[in-house]
Amino acid sequence: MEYAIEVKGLRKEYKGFNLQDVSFRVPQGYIMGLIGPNGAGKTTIIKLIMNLLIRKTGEIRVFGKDNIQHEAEIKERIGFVYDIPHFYEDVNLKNLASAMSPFYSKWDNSFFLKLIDEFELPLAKKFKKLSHGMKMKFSLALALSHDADLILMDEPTAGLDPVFRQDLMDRLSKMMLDEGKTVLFSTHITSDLERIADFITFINDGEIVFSSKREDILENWGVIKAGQDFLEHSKVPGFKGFRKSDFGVEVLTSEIKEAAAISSSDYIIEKANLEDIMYFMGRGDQNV
Amino acid sequence: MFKYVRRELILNKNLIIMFLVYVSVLGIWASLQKIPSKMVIMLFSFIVPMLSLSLQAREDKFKAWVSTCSLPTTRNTLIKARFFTIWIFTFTALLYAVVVGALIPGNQAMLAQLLTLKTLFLCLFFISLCLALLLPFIIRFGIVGIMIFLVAAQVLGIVFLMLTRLTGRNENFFRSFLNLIIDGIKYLFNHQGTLLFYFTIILAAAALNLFSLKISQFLLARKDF
Repeated sequence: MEYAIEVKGLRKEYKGFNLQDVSFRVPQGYIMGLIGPNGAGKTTIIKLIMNLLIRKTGEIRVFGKDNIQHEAEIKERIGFVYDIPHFYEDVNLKNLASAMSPFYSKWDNSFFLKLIDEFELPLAKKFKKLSHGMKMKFSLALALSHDADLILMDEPTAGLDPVFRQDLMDRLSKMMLDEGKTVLFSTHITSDLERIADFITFINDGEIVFSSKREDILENWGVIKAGQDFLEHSKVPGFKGFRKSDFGVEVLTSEIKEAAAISSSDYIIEKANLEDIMYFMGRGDQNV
Repeated sequence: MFKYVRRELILNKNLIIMFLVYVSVLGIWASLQKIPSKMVIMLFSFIVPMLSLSLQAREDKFKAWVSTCSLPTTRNTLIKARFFTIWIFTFTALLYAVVVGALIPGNQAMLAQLLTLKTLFLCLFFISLCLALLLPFIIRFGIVGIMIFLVAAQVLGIVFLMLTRLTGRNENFFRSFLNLIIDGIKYLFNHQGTLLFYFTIILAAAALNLFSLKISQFLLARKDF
């Protein structure tokens, strides 16, 4: 299998935050979602791939090439969208696109104009006059207009209305299926990922907790809902975390089939969704 | 390299127009006031690079470095392009100032006196000095870099002059250093202007820029966005 992104032993240190030995791979032609609580390190990873941050140690290969040694060549093949789009605020959209387009040999201006039309963006308007959602749409139009093989997006759906979010997800899914594009995007809106992501990488406190196929995660992870004293009497296989409330205890497991065999009648077990996993692993009363 | 210049022109169009108006007013004012040529050289050698540098500072103001550094290029190339663009702007602004000066009725005689090989070379040298000192600051710290540089230069100047005064009239390190600078500037302005002189000036300007370029590349290569 060929990989669009290979990250090995990546480290970055800030005051109060360390990205520790991060390793994961994104196969070509697939969509990977990067999830994790605020400050987990998602943006840091995406910025490190784009060489916007200087890594301490580790290796990042994009399409098999080192992202620093082959920086220009690699970036020609990447469409990027950051959580906060930063462009010259007092310049209109038409001029911003004119300033950027010559840098891409595969820039397709007619496709760009088609997207601008679809996204209902006013080309003559200055960037600062746009709402956050419109800024994100403009950023997306730029990222999608140069036939990039890899789309890197940091929280692209933040600030977008549900209709456009769904349109975007459908578009990304179509791009992957029809054109073999690879997508890596971080998001808090886990329902987006449940629909289109092939792989999910969960990061918490600067460490990769898991990086697996979406089906495997949604198939094997579950939440046990039981009485207050459930954990005192039962050993839960694949225990990942729990939450206690006045009504009982909820336990996250990564081995739903084995957990279903616990010999206790006083519980119910449901499949976990990504939001459950994010909650228990990131904020639960206890996680492992 | 020209796509970078084009990019800067598009993104800074309004500011460039304002610059041209400013340089026009400055050129006309300098001409009408019959300011000595030495003063005009020093004035333009400082103002023109500052204007060019403020174009670059806009990148920092809008935090646009993130999108700039995401373009398919390397940081080293970006810095080279920055230097190239700044010099293009600087030359254009100077040329424009000369043209504006030439259009003022009765100003041609003064312009002929000002536009000698020596004044042009001296102007080039002082602009190089100004850009070489300021560019690494602006690349590392953005707009704040200009402020840091100007404030630090003033503070250092005051401290230096105070030390020169406090250490008495006798020859000492501070007084010798101050005299060296004064004599150096006097030498540049009073020199006859031989071929060797021009060659040395060009060489010094190139060396200053190359040094500044390398420092700027070193700084940007280590900067997180």
